[in-house]
Amino acid sequence: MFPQSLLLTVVFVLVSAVIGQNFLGLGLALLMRRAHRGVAAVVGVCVVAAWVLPEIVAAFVAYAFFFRDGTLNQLTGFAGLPAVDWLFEHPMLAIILANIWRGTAFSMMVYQAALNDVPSEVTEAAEIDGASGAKSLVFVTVPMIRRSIATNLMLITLQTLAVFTLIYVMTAGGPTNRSTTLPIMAYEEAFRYSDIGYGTAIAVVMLIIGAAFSLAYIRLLRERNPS
Amino acid sequence: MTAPVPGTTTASAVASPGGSRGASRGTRRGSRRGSPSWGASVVLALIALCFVVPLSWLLLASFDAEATYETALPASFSLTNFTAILTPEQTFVPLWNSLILSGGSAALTVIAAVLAAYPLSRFNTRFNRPFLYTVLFGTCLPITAIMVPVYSLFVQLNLLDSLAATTFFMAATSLPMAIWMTKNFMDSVPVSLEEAAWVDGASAMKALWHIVVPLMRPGLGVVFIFVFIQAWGNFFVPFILLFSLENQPAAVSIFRFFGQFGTVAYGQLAAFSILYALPVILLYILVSRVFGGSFAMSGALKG
Repeated sequence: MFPQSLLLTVVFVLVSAVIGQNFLGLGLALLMRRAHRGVAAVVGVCVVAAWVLPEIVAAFVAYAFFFRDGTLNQLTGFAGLPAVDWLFEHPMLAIILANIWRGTAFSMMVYQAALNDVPSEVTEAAEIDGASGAKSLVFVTVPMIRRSIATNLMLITLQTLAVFTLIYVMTAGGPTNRSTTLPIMAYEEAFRYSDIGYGTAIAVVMLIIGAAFSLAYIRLLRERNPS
Repeated sequence: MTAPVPGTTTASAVASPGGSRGASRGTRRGSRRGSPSWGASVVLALIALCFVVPLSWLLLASFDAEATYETALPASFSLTNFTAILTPEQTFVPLWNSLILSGGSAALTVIAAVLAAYPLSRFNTRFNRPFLYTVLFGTCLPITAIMVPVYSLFVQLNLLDSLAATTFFMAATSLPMAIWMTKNFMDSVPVSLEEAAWVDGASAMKALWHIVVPLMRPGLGVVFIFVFIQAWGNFFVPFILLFSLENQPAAVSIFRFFGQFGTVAYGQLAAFSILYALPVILLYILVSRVFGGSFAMSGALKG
């Protein structure tokens, strides 16, 4: 039970925060600089809307979206696909997508701010030297916003590690513990089965995971630094 | 670890009140490259659509008297959901409790954060760095991890189901972030003004309340609203610490639309969600319009 929960937590953090929110946020921020100003502004509002909502409301909205008779199945129904009970058949996928939906705005705003601080002369110089868009992104822009990337990764990792409400409302850890991440498990053990000691032990493990992730990001920051 | 660089971004974000959101700052430093492309706009619009579609259920269901979890245009536009929930026990008491919790903890946090940030910002002692790193660590602490021990603490102190105690606890949890932000805002207030006050015989506390605090009012506004929004949306803490109906804030009382009779009042749930979410949406708009954008926040995060 506990090893599975640990694994699910790591998967949840890696896929929904480190990969999902981080890359989608960076992608959105980059696209917004190339898109028309009006479009970028409207898109910003749309993405931030999910983030501004209180977490319990966002959780209900996500629940309604993935529910058996919910919006997602209506949409796949239009495309002629069979209805899938997302919350029961693919609970992890549902909560990961929901967390990406809710949290991406934060990464997007951090990266918008970071990209605005990159002087345009630098990327222009790279282009004159013949670097393609992708190359100047990887070798010029990304190293220049390295600090923001590390800070952002740390914050969204720790936030995602602590996500309780979203999962509790959407699946409550079920079916049969297939989406029981550590916060849910700590809650169940401590408050449903009144085993405060065991719940606290799980909480300590969560803190250790958070510290491990943070240390990894600090390393990342140091190694790339020209000493 | 990102070293505490004095909040340059924070300063510039606050120094330009009325400055519009992010995009306009781009004209100063990294401008957009070339002409806008239609490809990027279309891709962006498609992504935005994915973000909005789930939200459409909330809006449509709240105006639909026969709402379900399906997204559908209401057969007839009706306000019955709103009129049904506008009763003291359904809406007003929970919202009032939310207001006490969030307003109380935001006020407490701001006062404590100003007092804590002042020496950190003005005096260089060798405790500053360790202290700030500890604060940063506190900011990052997952709240779900500390709730179990806090629950046992509240049981021992006999403070369960007390609004005041929960307010204090929520103030404590938001304090690290608030100290961090307040210190960054305070760093941008020039020290020379206080020196003038000291020469004129003002004590440190006098200088703080009469010179520094008035000068950093916009920054404190951001901190207050930031804490308020967080507390308003907080579900887990009141869910654990408060259980009687008359003490529950809106975040917890929302569960009343489930169960009891086995049915879910979808329309009322959606209508209540909207009423509950409205204040934070308005506050967020206020921050981004008046104080110069989410960058006041992300700038403070950079620290």
